[in-house]
Amino acid sequence: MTAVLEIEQVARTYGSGHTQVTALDGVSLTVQAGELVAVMGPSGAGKSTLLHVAGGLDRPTSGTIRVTETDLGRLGRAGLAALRRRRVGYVFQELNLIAALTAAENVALPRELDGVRARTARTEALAALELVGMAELAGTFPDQLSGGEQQRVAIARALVGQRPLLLADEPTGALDTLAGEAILGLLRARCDAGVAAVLVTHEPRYAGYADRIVFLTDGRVVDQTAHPTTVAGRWS
Amino acid sequence: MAAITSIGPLARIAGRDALLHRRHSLLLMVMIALPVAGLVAGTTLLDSLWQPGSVWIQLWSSLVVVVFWTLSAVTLVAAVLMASAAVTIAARRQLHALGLLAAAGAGGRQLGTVVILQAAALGLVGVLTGIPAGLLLARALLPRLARAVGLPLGEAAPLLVVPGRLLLAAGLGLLAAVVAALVPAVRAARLPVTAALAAHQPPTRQPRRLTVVGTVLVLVGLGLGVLQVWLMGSRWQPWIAVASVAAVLVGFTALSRALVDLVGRSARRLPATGRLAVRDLARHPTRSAAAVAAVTAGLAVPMLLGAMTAQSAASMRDYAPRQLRTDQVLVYSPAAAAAVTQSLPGARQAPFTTATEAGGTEVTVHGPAIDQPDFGVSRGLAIGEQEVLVAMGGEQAAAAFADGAVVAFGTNLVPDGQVTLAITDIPRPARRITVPAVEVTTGSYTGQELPSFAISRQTAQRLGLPGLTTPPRYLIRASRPLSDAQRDQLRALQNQSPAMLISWAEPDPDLQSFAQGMRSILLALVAVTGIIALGSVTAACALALSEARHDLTTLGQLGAAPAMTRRLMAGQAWLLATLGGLLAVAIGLGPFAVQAIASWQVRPRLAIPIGPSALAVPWTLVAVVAVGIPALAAAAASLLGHSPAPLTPRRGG
Amino acid sequence: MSIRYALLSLLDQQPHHGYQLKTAVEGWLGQSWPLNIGQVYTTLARLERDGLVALGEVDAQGRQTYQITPAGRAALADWFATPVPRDGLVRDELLVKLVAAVAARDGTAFEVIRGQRTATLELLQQHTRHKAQAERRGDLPRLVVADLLIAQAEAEVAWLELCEARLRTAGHDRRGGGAAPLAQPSGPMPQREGP
Repeated sequence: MTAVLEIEQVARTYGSGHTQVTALDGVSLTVQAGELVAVMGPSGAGKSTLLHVAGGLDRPTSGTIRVTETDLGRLGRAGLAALRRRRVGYVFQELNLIAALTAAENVALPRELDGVRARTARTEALAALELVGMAELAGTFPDQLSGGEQQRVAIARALVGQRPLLLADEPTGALDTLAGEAILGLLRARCDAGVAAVLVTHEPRYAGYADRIVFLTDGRVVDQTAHPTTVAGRWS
Repeated sequence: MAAITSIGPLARIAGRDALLHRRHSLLLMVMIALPVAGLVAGTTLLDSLWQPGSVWIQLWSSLVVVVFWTLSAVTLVAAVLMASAAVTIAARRQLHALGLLAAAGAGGRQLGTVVILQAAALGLVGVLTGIPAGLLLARALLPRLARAVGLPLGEAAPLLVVPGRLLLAAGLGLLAAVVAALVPAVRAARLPVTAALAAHQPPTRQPRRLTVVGTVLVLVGLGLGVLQVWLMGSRWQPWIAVASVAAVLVGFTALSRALVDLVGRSARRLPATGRLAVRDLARHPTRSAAAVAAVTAGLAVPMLLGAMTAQSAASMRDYAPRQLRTDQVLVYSPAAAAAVTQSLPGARQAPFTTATEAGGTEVTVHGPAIDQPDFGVSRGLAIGEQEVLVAMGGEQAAAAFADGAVVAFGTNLVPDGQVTLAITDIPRPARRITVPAVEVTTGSYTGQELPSFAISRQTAQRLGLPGLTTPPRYLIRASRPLSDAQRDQLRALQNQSPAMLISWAEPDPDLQSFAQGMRSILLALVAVTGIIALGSVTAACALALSEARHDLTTLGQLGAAPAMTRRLMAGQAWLLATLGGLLAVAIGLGPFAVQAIASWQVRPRLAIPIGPSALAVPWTLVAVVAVGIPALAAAAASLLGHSPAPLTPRRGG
Repeated sequence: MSIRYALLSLLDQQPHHGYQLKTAVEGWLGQSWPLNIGQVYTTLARLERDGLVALGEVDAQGRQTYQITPAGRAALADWFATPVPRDGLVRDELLVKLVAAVAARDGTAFEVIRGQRTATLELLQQHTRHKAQAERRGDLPRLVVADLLIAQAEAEVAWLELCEARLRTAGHDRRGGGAAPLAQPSGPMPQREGP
């Protein structure tokens, strides 16, 4: 089984001289299809940075990143943008959706940006919304949706077009426990269906849904929970 | 490929986003509509007054062309600056949305396209609003203006609408919107996505670079103003003048950021409320500088027109070619001299001869500047005593006169400090004598009645000039310009004794009406652009203040009394408008000040005399721009802006 | 821990015999609390002695059923109404281990924290899977248990992270001695009043 995301010895520093900040210091991580990896750690540990470089929003200072076997280092800005349209989806803590577009239009956006015709894109968007249980609210605007509903739409948008990798940065941060658990249940279901996902969270209860929990401190991986060894111990 | 086929969704995003953030969209639209309306109103008025057969055509065709193109160019520059200010103010809000687009996979080009599409669409709406507004304004002003200018067009004066002008205004408006959006579009394309998502400000351009650019532009503009003086009368002069004004305009507005920083640093000495207002403005330098720039650009146009009006009015006074000054009377006999001197209180008479003798002997004055054919200066030489010099208005050259110099009345007649006297004394061969000369800078005398050059009797005798013994004429100078009543008196005197020749200066009707008419037109343009500038000031201040709402909300939550926040908003509006107004005054007066200094100091050797342009300052306009408008803005802000409620609903579910 | 009130609440619904009671309670709590039948009968005897339970009929298979008495109902209601006392004393091996490691001041504490955190997180993953299963089956009691286990694991991880942060701030280096030692306890450890 080939890995969907391969991060090898990635480092990311900002600034120079005595104001230099090291966000990542030699992190390696591999995520397979169908795997949900949770990344935990104190604030400032580099979790968000890891997520940003994983999907091409930011470039590492050193190291290699491969998404479905494509080396991100070889891609220019246009290539990275194409990556975000076709292979990788992001979900952030809040304000994920463009206020001026309806839920369906938000979800269709990556496809339309990729040149897909509006009608086809809409069909794909509705299918994605169906998967997250938001098909009935396809025509509503973000400011009429609750936080949990917005996050569902965001997940649909991240996955539209059958994208294999989902990167979520504290998607439950602005939600109460029940809504948060619903989101994690949704992510878990998607991963069980074959999506690879990396979830940054500081709440252990959400990390509990993952197949593997990775702990970052000072930009380095210091701990990992073991892969469950028995079939009964796995999710799918 | 993706970039091309995805125009549809990008346009949808641009449009919806514009509708969602109505206040920002409205500001950009207004910033385009106002200059377009001003240009349309101004040019339509000019066109409608251009009636064939009127005296205007000959007199001011070239001037109208200059005014038209200056107005267009300055309008474009002002529109770009005002639109840029609007875009800058809106950019921060747009940042997060652009970041989301990028995270969803939009490429750099797509991001830039969204920005430009939005600006173009809003520019189009602004153009479509501005053109009818301008036409309405022109229709309202035309009857009044026609009356002032002396054209009997009546209340139903036909408005001459030239489609070409409207297209030009529309084109300029759209161009301005797109140009204003260029830099933000490029910035959007290069957006550091992670910073945008975290809603951090992208690192703003180094203020230092902007200050350098601004200073350079101002210096270039002023330099072009000097150059324009050198090129006076040539084909390029109007374009250089326009370029100079444009450079100064852009330069000073580029300096607005530095000005805001400077003001922020000096806040320490103010009392608490003032310090708070100033610090708040200085903490958001980009947004504040943008508002100041918008105000500056808006006010600079009427300021420039006002300065132009003042300058041309002043030079009218100096250049009007005349035979005699309004306080002089010329008579040819002692009896007439006595009669006139009696009727005019405080009058002094001075006899002089004109260096000609019966039989054709005469003296004419020559020089490289004097001999230019377009000049029209009378080349005769007046011989007399000090009193003639005084009567001609040349008191300041008394010492040189006594020393033996020729005194020339005019400007740049004797650049090299000497003249050549040609003595024709037929049948003797013509003699040429070079004599030192001194100039009294003033309008020269034309016509043969009163020469433009004077020499003392003593010097004339020494040089052996003819005409010392011919019957003198008498130049009478009254203590003040003749009134209409006094002129009537002289007319009566003349009619009584037709043999008595009396000459005096009548106000030139054509010239008078021309001067007044031009003044009226320029004032009308000032009013038109002024109304528009007021709109831009209000809009810019209002928006900069609504951006400040967030901070003011916090203040409210901390327990600041509503009156205090109101005072803060008023203070900020006042500060923004004052800074903008001061810059506008500098822009308006700058080129003319430079021109005045240049024409005094530089004095190039030119054939065509350049006017003594002392700087004529339109003080009323300056007071309105620098003091009145800021006060108005402050009052409006404190009345219209209600302090935000301490509880603002948070976004998101 | 006594299971008397668990038995009472079952008997409150209807009479049961001993074995039924055992299977019912185990069905609730599963692996968390295995019961043997002897415990059940001993508890039933005590309840009968206290007048909270009475002997019922003997059923067809010859098993003795028990039923609840009015006094039993009252005691049950009282039990539901009274909050469970939580005393300040925590008898937890982890606590002892961690405090000892902290006192050692040579960085052992960090390793204890890291190790425990990983283990607890693995346990958390397991509990979450069980919870998902319980949710799928609609098994509410199992779900409640799973939630408690998850919450406890969560609390432990949170506490471990807090300890780590405190140790860092206090200058406890990982290797080779710390800076200032932790303050010596000035008196007995704080505890809430017992029941």
